[in-house]
Amino acid sequence: MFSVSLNAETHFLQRIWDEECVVYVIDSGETYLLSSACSYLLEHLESGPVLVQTLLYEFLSSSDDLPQAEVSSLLGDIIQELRKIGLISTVEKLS
Amino acid sequence: MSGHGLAISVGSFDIRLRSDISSVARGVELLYGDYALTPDEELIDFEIDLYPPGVLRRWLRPQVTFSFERHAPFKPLPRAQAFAMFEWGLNWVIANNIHEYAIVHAATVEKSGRAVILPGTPGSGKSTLCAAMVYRGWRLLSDEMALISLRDGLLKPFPRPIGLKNASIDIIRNYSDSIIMGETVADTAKGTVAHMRAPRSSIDSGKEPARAHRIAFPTYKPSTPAQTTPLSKGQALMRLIENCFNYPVLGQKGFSTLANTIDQCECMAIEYDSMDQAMEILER
Repeated sequence: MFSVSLNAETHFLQRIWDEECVVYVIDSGETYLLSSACSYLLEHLESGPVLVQTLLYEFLSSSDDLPQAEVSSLLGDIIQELRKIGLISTVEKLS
Repeated sequence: MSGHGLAISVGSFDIRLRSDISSVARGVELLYGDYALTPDEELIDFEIDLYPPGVLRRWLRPQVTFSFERHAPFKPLPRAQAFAMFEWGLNWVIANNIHEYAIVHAATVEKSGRAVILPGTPGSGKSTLCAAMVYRGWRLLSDEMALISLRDGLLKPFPRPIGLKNASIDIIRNYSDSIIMGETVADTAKGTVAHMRAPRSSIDSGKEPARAHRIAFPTYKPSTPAQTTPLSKGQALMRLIENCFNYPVLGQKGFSTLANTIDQCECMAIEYDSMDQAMEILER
């Protein structure tokens, strides 16, 4: 089981417009155009680490009955994208 | 212009130019004749010299060297390009030394208090469109770079001669009888170039900033009726950042300033063949 958290060592600014979010990573000076789903995930992590299962539940409950496989795949892609640019970290938790 | 040189006020900047090259003097007289001279007691923002290189080189091949505050950042160019080198060098000076603004490669014009930013990707025709617009009643804020204040987000005017190249020179020369064009210089790195004098009204209002309300990314496309495509705010911001010379040095202030600019603007791409059609769209 994995938990996801904001990377404490990475500082960033973001602007959200409709379906898009532009993130400026202060530490690297890089700017990224992301989907607003990324911003939705970042917002969920503001209060602390969250288990992937909990995130999936949150995403499913706000996804208007989309199939679980599709939502799960979207969540996986978002986590991978945000990890790649250093905004979040994932940690394996022993159950 | 030799000796102490000539100090002129361009917008809110004061530039001192020293040169004893006759084509520079002719260019300045023709294209900067309407600008106010900087009073002696004023501080000069940019000290620029244009001079022939060493004696032997001067004899073998007439050239010109551009220097900013006693430093020559470029290799000499053929002497015929001396005035153009002043303009290009001044662009470099601004882009590398003025960091209280986000500096975007763009033309900026204003009408009725509403400014339009026309970012300039290669082949966009931004200068041609900008030149036509200012001779149809738009105020020229700047042709080559949008200066967006980090403090208040306003566009700082920097109305200088408009640089035109190749076919654009005759297109604009034929656009209006009142257009004053400097000397045409062939075989530069940009092809054939000439500069067009900025309108007197734009020079006189060169200290009045303007607020951007529209960003239009132009593309000249022959045989295409003028048409616009809306750009999302995110796409527009990324494209604006690509065109921002000093984005890497501005840090988060640069990001916030450009994002705020996008926030307040309608963002679009515009393809055009006819400048009149493009202007009609941009007037709306």
